[in-house]
Amino acid sequence: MTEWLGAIDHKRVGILYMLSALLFFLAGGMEAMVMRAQLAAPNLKLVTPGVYNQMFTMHGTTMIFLVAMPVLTGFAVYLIPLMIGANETSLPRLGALSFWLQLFGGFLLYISFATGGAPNAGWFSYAPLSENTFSTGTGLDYWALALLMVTAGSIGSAINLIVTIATERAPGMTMRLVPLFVWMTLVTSVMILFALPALAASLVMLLSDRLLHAHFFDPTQGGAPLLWQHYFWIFGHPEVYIVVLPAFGMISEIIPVFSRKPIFGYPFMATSTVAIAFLSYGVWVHHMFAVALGRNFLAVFAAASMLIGVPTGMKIFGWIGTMWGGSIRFTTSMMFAVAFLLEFTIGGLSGVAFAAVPVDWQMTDTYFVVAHIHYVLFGGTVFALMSAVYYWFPKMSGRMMDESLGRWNFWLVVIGFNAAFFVQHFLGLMGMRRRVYTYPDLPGFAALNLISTLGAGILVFGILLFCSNIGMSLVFGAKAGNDPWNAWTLEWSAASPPAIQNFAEIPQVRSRRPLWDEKHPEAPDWVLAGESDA
Amino acid sequence: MTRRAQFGMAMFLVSEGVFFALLILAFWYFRQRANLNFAAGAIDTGLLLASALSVWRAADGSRLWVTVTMVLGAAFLIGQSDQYVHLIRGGVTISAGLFGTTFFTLTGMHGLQVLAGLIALAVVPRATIRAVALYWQFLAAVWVLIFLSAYVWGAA
Repeated sequence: MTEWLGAIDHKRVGILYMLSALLFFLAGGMEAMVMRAQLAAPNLKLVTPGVYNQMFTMHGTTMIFLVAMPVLTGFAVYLIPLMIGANETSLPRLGALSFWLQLFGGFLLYISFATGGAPNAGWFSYAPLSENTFSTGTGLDYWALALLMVTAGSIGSAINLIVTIATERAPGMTMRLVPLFVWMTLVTSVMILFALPALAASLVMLLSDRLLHAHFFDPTQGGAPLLWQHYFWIFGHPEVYIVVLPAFGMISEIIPVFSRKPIFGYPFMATSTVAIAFLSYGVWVHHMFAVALGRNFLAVFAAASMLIGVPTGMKIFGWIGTMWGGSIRFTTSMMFAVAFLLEFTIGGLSGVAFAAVPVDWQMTDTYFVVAHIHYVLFGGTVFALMSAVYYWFPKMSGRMMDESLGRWNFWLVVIGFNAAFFVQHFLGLMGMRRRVYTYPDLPGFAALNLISTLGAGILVFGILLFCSNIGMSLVFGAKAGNDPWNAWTLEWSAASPPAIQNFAEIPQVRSRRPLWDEKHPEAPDWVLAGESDA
Repeated sequence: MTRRAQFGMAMFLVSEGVFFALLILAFWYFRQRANLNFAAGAIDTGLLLASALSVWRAADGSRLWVTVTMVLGAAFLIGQSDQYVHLIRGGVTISAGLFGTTFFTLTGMHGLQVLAGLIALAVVPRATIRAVALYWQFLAAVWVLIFLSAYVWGAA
């Protein structure tokens, strides 16, 4: 126990991150189920509007800050040193501190339930609703303080990852040879450095208003609620890419191995990530199209928002190009990866639709938005994470996950997810407002909402099956060995699970597939690729 | 270790730069003016700039220059507190209007970090003092921007 509490080893800290994310994932899932139960039929009164507001606020805040970010950080902290042939991160104590800030930030947020009510102003807590005048309890104070802690933790782990990637790579491993997951983690970490302080500044201003009676966002004293919207979304839009780019990185590792082909268009996959990072700072106003900001102003942000679809689309083609003509092995991991491509593309397409200002005006604050974000963050990030767990669990535990349970897990999640969220596109188009605790019995509303709630129920079974597969495989899973997938990156040359010292000797790297070179001395990659001779 | 610590600190200062840039931007956005004591602000600026020079010598591992830096930093904080007291006695508080809101939040966040820097100078081992020196010089540079915004361009 104490060796986990005091752990600074990157593998232990990484696993702590993942376990804490799983804990909060279950909490956030329960909040979602309270909402879906309340919405199962028109005019239900299972919970009060006040409790419903707390549920959607806590669900959004939990899933973004206490699940998506820490689980991706956990994977990065665990895998990056292994992938680049290092034995440790550069700043291991900073890494451990970052985890504990993250975890206790999460606890602080949840303590709010016991102190007279959780925060209830939505995950983006628009002013002036979030000001003292309209939110009189302490919930929003807990929200802001908890997120400040989480922000500090996120920046700390980003610094650790950047320094590690920059200074600890194995001899010969230039930035042109690192696995794409490393590239995407690097870009994500740099984005965290630029985006999270915008959240911190917003929170400091909100806390000044709430606790010291300042007037940043108080229009009656000349303050500007719009300032909150700008600052929050300067953080908030890059944040979307912060929680999806590492998932892209995972998919870019998994699809090649199960297609038995190297990634298609590596330089494009890496540079399109950088392009997304730059563009993501120029699109925040598309969250604010409903504010009267002026036509030309909106046009610029609409164009930028459509532009960001281009590098994202390039990635989709890169993954399809990798699978094209490959000998594909449909393991559970690969099935989730392929499903990711489909679900994420749906989310991406509805996102491009929003970039058109008049469409946004029609859809804003409807269930179409809810459907869109869940196709991006669940269909994208969570599907990629499920794929990643099935892929790297053998490395982390030394045991294989059960494939037949995996099939059930996969189909329940796919059916449940699409039933729960696809119908919400229609509900949004029909005018159903998000964030309202119930709805009138209009034509079609009852049936579509019931489908959505039943789908969410199926999804819960899928997730529980996933958790029990992890638990059972830890005990009964078949021994994995170092390299169960016949993969090519360095983490598969370490033991499963790796010893405290990952590598007995640090390998010399000469191509993007160092393990291929080792297994095939007759035809190593670096002979074919002129660019990678070390 | 030393190089990694400095590299890590440089990355942290990227975040800090964005943080202060947005608080300064909020100060400009509201364009509120008040009668600040220019002379006291200028002395504070001199103290912090002098400490940015002394911490540069301290980075070579000299305890004496660390102490000089800490004395200058503490003097800066005392000067700041003195101005706070005068402003508050004159009715300029954080809740009294938008000037107080922006001025106290901005200088308060900066002052808290100077305090954190003082503690870091006191406790950090010699091997990583260069990283702290970097942080300290960053805070001095931010102060110059705050001084220009509030005491020069924003002077009533």
